[in-house]
Amino acid sequence: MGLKAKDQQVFGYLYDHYSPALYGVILKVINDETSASDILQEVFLKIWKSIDRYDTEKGRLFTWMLNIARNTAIDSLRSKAHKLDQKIQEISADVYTHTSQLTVQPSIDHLGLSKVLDKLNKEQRKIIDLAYYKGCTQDEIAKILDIPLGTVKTRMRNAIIQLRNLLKQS
Amino acid sequence: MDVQRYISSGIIESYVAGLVSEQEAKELQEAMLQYPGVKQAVDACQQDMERYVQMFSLQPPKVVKEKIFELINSDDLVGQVTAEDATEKSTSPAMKAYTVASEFPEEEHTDGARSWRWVAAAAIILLLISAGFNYKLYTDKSELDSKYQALQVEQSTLMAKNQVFQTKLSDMDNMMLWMKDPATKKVMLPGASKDHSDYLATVYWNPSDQNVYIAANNLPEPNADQQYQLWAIVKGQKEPMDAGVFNMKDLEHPMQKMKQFGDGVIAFAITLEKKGGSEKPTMPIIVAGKTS
Repeated sequence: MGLKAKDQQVFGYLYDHYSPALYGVILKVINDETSASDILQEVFLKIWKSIDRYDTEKGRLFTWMLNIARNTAIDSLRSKAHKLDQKIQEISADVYTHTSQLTVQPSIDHLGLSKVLDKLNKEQRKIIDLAYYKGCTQDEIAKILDIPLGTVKTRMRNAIIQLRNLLKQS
Repeated sequence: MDVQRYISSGIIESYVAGLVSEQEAKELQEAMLQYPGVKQAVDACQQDMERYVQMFSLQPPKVVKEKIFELINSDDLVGQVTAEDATEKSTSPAMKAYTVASEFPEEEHTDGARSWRWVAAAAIILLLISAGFNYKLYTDKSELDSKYQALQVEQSTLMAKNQVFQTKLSDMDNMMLWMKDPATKKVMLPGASKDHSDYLATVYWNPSDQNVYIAANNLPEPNADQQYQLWAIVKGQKEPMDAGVFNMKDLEHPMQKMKQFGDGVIAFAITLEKKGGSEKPTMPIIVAGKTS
């Protein structure tokens, strides 16, 4: 595999192909373009350094890369929050308000998927975003959405099934 | 396990969204290995998530790509945080769960790298302990070496002394045997003057082997420029014959060998001469004794 040889051409292709998606994830987590650029740089350096360890048998490359981007961005968010001496409760509150206000609106429609977002129930988007983009725990989600802890998982399942159906239709 | 029920429980969706506990993640990973249906469901859900995430794609500033390639080409990645560092930093239970839960090689290798770090740390500690022991053993050995050398010197000294004693002993043995020889005569030489009748010397003389030994039983210490000289009065000789000088200090050896004389010695006498002795006696006789 060219990537394993750390072939820069392949890495360049990888960057061109995946950086918009990773940048989108980071931006959704951090809501700050300057920080997001720095984190994207960090993420691709991590990918460059650890691409040798990626095993096609074990998982999807895109998911693997998304995982790195998401973890790095959430870590950055947490360390910043820590520096500002914010309490977890406050973060959670911020997450709740900012996800609706500051969410980066999809600027590209090449996949014809923006319609999907419109059709996805607000509560369903929120539960996915809180978990995936903000790294909230089940406890935190239950509090933020004001639902019983035991129903968080089923809500998540329903949200993703709804997402899947919308994706099929598009 | 009821696979369908497990799949429909929402665990897979929560896992993919990074929402499960460590325990749940472990269970799911085991289930994925065991049941292809579970693995398929996870893959499908991950694809859904990928497509969802892609909807928020946004072109990053061009400068980012330039910066990344600049860094990669300079190969100066020292100080850059690695993927495993980021994983370690994740502190919330959800993040930990997600980290453990994901079966992506990144995390597996992280665990591997971590355990290797432990192995390396343990190896270094063992190396230091070993080095400490080596140093101690080395110093101990050096100490023992010098002690051993000292003992060797002491032993060779003792051996030499022993040699001396052996020689002395055998000399004395020989002397005893010689004195016991019936041919050996013991000639007492008492004080010659009335003033010093307590002076005494003894000559042992064996006419057959002609050896003469002298023992000073009671003679005063001479001056530094004087020596006692033994004379033999021999039949047919007008003058006493020089039998040699002797030192009182040498007489600490019980006997001192003198010049040899065969048959014909009538008497022995001792005078106190100048150091080195004289050809003829120049001083008065101090002690004297007949051989028969």
